[in-house]
Amino acid sequence: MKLKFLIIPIFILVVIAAIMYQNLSTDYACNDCNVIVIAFDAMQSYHVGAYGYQKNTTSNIDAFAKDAFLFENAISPAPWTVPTYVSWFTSLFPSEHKVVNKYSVYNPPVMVIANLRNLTPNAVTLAEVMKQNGYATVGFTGDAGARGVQGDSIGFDTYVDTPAGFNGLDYSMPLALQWIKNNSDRKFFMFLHGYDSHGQYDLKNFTKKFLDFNYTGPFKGTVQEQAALREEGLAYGQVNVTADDVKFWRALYDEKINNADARFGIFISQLKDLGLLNKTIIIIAADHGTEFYEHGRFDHGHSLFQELIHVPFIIWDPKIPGGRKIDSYVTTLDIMPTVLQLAGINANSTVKQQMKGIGLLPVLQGQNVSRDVYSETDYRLYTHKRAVITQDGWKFILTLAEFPNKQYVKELYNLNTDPHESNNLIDSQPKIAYELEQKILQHMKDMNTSVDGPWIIGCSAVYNEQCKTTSVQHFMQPYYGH
Amino acid sequence: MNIANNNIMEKILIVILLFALFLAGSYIVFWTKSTKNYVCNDCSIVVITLTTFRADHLGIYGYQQNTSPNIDEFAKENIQFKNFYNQITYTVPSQASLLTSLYPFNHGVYTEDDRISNSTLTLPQILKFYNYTTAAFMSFHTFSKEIYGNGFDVFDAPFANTNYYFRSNSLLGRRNASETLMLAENWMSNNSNEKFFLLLNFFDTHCIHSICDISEISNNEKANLTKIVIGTYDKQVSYIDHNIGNLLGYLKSHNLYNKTIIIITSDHGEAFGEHGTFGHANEPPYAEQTYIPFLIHLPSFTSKVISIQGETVDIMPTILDILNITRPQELDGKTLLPLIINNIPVNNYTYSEWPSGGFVSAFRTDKWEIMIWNNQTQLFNLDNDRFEQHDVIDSNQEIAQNMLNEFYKWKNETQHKYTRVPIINSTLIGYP
Repeated sequence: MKLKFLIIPIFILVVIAAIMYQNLSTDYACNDCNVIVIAFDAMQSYHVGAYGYQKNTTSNIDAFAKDAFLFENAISPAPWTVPTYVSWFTSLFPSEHKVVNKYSVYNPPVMVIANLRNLTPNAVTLAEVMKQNGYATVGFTGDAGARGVQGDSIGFDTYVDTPAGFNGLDYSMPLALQWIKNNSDRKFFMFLHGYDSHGQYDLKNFTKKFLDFNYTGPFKGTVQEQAALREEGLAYGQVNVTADDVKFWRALYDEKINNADARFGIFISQLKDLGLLNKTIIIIAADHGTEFYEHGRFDHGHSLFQELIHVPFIIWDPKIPGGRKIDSYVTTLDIMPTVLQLAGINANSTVKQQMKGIGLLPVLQGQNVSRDVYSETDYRLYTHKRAVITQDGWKFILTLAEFPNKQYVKELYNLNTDPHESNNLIDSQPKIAYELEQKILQHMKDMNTSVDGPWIIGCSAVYNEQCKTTSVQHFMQPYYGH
Repeated sequence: MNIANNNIMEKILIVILLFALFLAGSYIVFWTKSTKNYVCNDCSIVVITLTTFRADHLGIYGYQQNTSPNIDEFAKENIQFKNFYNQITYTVPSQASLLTSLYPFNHGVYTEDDRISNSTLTLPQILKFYNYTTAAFMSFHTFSKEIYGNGFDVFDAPFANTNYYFRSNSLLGRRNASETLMLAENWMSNNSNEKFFLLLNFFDTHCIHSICDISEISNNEKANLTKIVIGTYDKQVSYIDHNIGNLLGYLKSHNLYNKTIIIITSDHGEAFGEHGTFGHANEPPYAEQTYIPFLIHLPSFTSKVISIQGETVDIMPTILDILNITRPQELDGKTLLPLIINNIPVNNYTYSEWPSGGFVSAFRTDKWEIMIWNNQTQLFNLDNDRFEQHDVIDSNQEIAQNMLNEFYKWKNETQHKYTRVPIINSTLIGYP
């Protein structure tokens, strides 16, 4: 028997033992910490101070990030709400959990709201796992795309998603605090969500404090105008606004974010006063960003450009000293496995096999990430897109089909040299284009979907007024102001 | 403290487990070679595809007539696949399968009016992404640039202005192996500083150099019909072998042999009365049509004889794998490298078809073959009946039924659905 094959294992054994003695992960786990995941809906990372924004809109988030781990390149698995939180809670891509639109069947009068339990009965949610491990599980949300009925509430003892509409942290955060004060005896897992920075959140008192010039354009900043811009972009592929209009909308956005930040500030300081900051793992992130005409349109859901899928992602863990920025590309699919890792929960093999994200604990400890990151959208059956981003900053977007007649369109961008994605390199970099296209095709196969589709272009509503009219003009005129 | 003790116990347990794992792991590593060792990133590739060329008229495939000393020597020094099949019984679709790694029902090129789809990447197109220079030198005009030219810097086939009926029976639009080889060598002498892909075709075993129409044979000689046909055919096999010998000599004397992947194969065979008919194209996919040679020279690998089956669509992914190039997702074929290096079978089944005669499919495991006609199925034992003379379905009903079920399942999974066209449901559109 050849014994020389023992040499390598013995050597490696010694090395491993040394490393493990130094660095066994369970030393960092916080078994009795609480876990809070805070979602700032629609908050574009560009608009956050800690991500480089020049205006002082997010002083509280910035202060929080200083001692935490800030992920500079976190990517959302989808560019709008409905599929994303379900992805957070299952660590599955939308194509896998299948809650890709608000309705799974939209043939009026037959309308069936998409529901995780019906579409993917075997999926286990993060809340279910936390609950099984002795945590109280509570959710305080702004409803709409985070509505419990589509599956977001599975596993939560308490899940608040009323009243209907787009509610902010001004509504959900006080409820969260109240629950914490009334339940100080239990460790808990909390999902705290608000629509404060969303286009459909009604900012009742727009003070224009971040508007630094005298805007004379037609917009007032109402949610109707914002909806009209969104629909026009979908109908015509672009809208026509001026640079001042864009500044106006961004100023409105800044104010909404600033308000959300203030509410976050209150929340964090209350946690501090309650002595919970040292016993709570806090993750803050956004489900997606918002387009402000970077590619000719407004709002979100309709594309996979960075303004929509590059999201803030910050992790605070009382047991691991932070204050570091991490530039590896990660995805918010990593939230679920990371929470389990940080809380010291050893998930069973079913859950481990289900989760497509990775636990980021080794990354917090300095390891690099080598995996590619994927994102996708089937927004309202208006478009079907898939994208991949590699760790060296290459991004490939495949539009499988889009209204009115786009079919299998490929785009390639270098995010390092062209972060605004204005220079499509699909023809000048054929080798990279080929390799990334194959990655996406392989990824679609891994998700049990076929590139052959069929890709249905139609109208699957999200908001009640959609899919009823046949004329955009008719819908838009009263609000457009011209 | 209890917790501390548990931690230590856990650590020890994990360490022991890891040790056992590494024992197993390195055992596997030592006895199984990695296919990565046989990758050669910058190798050139020469593929010789011979039209109307049966495997069994070569010495290393068992022929006793000494028709192929050069090919035999090449095979003995390199890798020989003893059970290799093409996908269809005539050239046009067979050649498309070679260049796309798609079955005919997926690439759809059945006649000279068909084209490979724009969204299908061919082998030369992919190689060009990786800076290969690419050239094809073909010997018959049916290999048209319009069908096969995509991705070739140079695509050279003889031109013919004759109509279809006369083409096979004329010297127009064709050239013999020496002529084609000379053009290829000329090209290589100007292009071998860079890595290149060369596709070479010899046509000489196809009629008119072999017998086109058996009615040509006079009544006096009808008794010796098969002998005459085969005699003429074998002459061309020897002629081709001679030219392949020259080609290999060229590669060796120009220092290309050791950094070139060399493949010798065929696009279909030829019937000599095994099932009552002669020729090809209008023949069911019996072995005389589908049993083709596949010989491959893999730099840094020794000689080997492989009995596990492979098929034409495997050639393109195998080449890409050897070059460590990403393979397209939609290929029907698989890389044969794990089979070559580690004897891991790659194909559960191989497939051939004949689109006429109501569409006949041949579906094989290493041992059995079912031939599926419109109104009947035949079963053959390939171990002792390679040329399908004895239909043994009656005594092997269960085997045949299983294979038939597997065939329908396989076909359904393999056939492209081609519905990338968006379906626009206009009644639901809420905006123009």
